[in-house]
Amino acid sequence: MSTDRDLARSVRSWLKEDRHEDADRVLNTVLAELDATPQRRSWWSAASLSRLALAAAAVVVVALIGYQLVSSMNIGVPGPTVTPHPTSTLAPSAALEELPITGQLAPGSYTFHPAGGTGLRGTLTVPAGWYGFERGAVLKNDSAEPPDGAGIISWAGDLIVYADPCQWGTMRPDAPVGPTVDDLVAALVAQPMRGATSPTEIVVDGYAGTAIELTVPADLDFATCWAGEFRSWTNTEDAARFHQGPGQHDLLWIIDVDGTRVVIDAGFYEGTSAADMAELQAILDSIQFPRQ
Amino acid sequence: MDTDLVVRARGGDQDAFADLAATIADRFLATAHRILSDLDLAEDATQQALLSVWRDLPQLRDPARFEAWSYRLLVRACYAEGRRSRQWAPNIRVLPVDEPMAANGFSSVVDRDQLDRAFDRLSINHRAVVVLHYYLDLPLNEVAEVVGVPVGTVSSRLHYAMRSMRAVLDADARTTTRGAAQ
Repeated sequence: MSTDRDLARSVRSWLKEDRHEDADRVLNTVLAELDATPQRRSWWSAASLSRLALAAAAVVVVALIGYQLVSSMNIGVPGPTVTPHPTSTLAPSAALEELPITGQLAPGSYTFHPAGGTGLRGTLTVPAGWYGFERGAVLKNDSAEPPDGAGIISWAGDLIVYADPCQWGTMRPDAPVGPTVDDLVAALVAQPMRGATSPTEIVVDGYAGTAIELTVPADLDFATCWAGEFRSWTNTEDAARFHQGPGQHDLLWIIDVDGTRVVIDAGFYEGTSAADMAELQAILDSIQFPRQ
Repeated sequence: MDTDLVVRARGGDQDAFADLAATIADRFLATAHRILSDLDLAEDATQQALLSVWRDLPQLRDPARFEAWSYRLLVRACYAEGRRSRQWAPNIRVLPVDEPMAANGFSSVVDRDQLDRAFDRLSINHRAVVVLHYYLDLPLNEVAEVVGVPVGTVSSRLHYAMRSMRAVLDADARTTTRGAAQ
């Protein structure tokens, strides 16, 4: 019998000895603190219509303890410039590490998976100070929150665009928009309260698409919106793009990658630093979709 | 893990979270206790981790990954508690892992006190890997996901930790042998 195995067996046995821990006291303390601990909303929300009442109740609790997502930011920040890209020459992405569920990223290139379960993959390159999130997003300093956050999130496949991004719960279309880039652009341009810029033709890694920029009204109190959230769209898996605060800008690259519609959503604020904006642009510029 | 509970808790349902937390709290505390070797610190880490689970649940996109995700929060909380308590400072020193093995090698009969002493010498990073792998029985790739480092780093830490423990145990054995000979 090897000594390594002896030691491993001894350590395993020793660790598994009953040490009579009882977490009841800890558990009671935690449960007593829930009301004072608001949940941090994410880029995604999985709240389905059947759970809206619960979500609304949670928002009431949040409102009662004074938690508000209010910002005094203004609209009008120039977004990253949209530039055409040459066709990808990147090696197959199988050699690249995937973005993690959560965690800080070492500078370098990663594979990302747009939300939507289409199986499509892309690659991007990040500098220092960025975090991966849920395999499909990157966040500067792990935050897309106002007043100075920055991040990029990606989507693929069918999307249901809310007719009203504030009262989204009562204005949810039953069906996704049509499958083309133009279908989605038209729906987003028509979405009220967004101040969409004129669509611009782009080419990303050889794939044609359209860029537009949307903005969340800077003077909007999210507490007046359905369940306290301002939402652009949701997908058929009930993962929704909801926004982190008033004044948030979203530069959208909507492109057709071999028949799959992809949305690259770069979020930022007036308070986002020039350095972070430059990094955001550099990451956008690095995006490629390796040919299978 | 009941993914329906996870989904409901993620949507802000406190009752669902209470049920969810009840199913993981004891395991959390036991894991933290082993990583930190201190029950008070372990209770603090468990409390912080459970609150983090509640606060950050909306960021969990795939409920099926709840277990690994939640253990990641626990390990982070353990690291934070470890940093706050200063008792880890003595553990930074280099251990004599490259010393030759005792003539008889590692004995298969090791008592708990010896293992306690050997484990206490490890850094918290090494303890976490040992506990996740040998106590929770997580495979190395899952340990890597929980700890947030590459699998190769996990293998390296585990190897170092086991060599370090063996070196301490061997030193104990040599001391005992010399004492008996005098």
